[in-house]
Amino acid sequence: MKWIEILTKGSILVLCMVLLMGCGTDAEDNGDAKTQNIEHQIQGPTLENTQKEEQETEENQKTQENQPEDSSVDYDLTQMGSDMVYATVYQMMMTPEQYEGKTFRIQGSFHAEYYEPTQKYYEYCIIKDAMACCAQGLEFVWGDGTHTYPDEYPAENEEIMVEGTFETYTEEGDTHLYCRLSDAELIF
Amino acid sequence: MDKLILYFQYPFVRYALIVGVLIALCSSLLGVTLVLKRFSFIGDGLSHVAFGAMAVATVLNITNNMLFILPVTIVCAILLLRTGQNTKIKGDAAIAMISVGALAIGYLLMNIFSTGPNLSGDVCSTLFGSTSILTLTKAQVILCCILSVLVVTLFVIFYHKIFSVTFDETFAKATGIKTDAYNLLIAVITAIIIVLAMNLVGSLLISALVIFPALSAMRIFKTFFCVTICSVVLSVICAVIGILSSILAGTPVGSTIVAIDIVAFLISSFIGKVSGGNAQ
Repeated sequence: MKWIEILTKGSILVLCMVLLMGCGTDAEDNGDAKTQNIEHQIQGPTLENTQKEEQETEENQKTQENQPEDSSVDYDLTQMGSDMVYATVYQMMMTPEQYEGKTFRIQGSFHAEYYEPTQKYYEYCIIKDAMACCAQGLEFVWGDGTHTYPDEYPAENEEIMVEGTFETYTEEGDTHLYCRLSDAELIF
Repeated sequence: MDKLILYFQYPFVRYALIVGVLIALCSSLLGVTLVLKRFSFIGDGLSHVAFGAMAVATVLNITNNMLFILPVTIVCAILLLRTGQNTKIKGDAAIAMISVGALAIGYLLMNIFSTGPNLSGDVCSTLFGSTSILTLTKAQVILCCILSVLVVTLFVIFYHKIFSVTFDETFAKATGIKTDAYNLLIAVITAIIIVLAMNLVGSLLISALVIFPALSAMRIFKTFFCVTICSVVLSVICAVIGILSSILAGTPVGSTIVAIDIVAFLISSFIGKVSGGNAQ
């Protein structure tokens, strides 16, 4: 009799939690809407890779294969929730070797930074995370890199969409590994 | 649902779910004991200590900061749980002192010796665990699995002793149980759980993970065994719902899990009131 009572109480509780789970997934649309409204936060210009993580190439290839069929890029971050966007960009920074050569579509705010040692302007797409405090910037090179800043580029903090191929590179006299989207298409 | 299936192809999402479930399981196991021993707030104090230790590890450039955070938190846990009788600064005052002290020193160190360009992001991620569960490496997942197995094994092996120490320490001591040793064991396990849980919900929200499932279970069940089992089941369900809904809705993982825990507590309270079950 005691066990029946325990099982009944437990079942009711689990049922309530499962119903709650159903409500939780309904929030998906709100999350996507929220992602569109990107706040303008800026991270420093350096996108350096400081550590190499374990190889998971196979798993990532599998992930790529499971992307929607109509997707023209390998990773469409504009279709992801803000947590997933943050985590994916974080993985790109930490394990760039797994993403090299893959095409990405990202959305965020435009930011350009002048870097004194190389005497060049670098362009970034700033993507914020769920807490709006852990924004990440991803460098991109628009087309073949011949576009002039600031004349042809969007205004600072203007919302942009960038589509390009992920690659790593090093600057002359600098051992740090940098990441960027090259040969990018810029929509603003 | 399609989106969820797609997200699960990413290894870091699978890691997050595995670690989330393990942490929820471990924290709820010990949560019952901590709540009954009136040590609910110790989780908060220790998590702040872990935050301070993490700041020091970052300043010292320790690659695997867990190797530094874990021993420091264990030492502080032992000190805090032993301060009850023999020191001039008693229980809650000692916890408050160490807690705010570690938090302040940690933030100060992170400011002075900032290693990244986004200090507010680092602090926010550590305190509230905004998305840190989604940035785990394979090595961290393995370490979490090992520590979780250790915690569950210790709890199962010493279940009866922990039960005795939890309900009547004086009586347990009189019957020959080495209560000091078991309190030490509880302190060590608590510290391990706190360090693990930092990744899931962040330093400021760990207490919720320890307290809410235990309190919810106590609204419905009356025996230690039933409360413990219910607490574990509830905690794991809340963690899974919290992680999945936060990933889908784009909300911070830690606070979403805690919000689900609060809802579970309200549901449990209602069920407890309707069925007349109340453990306290």
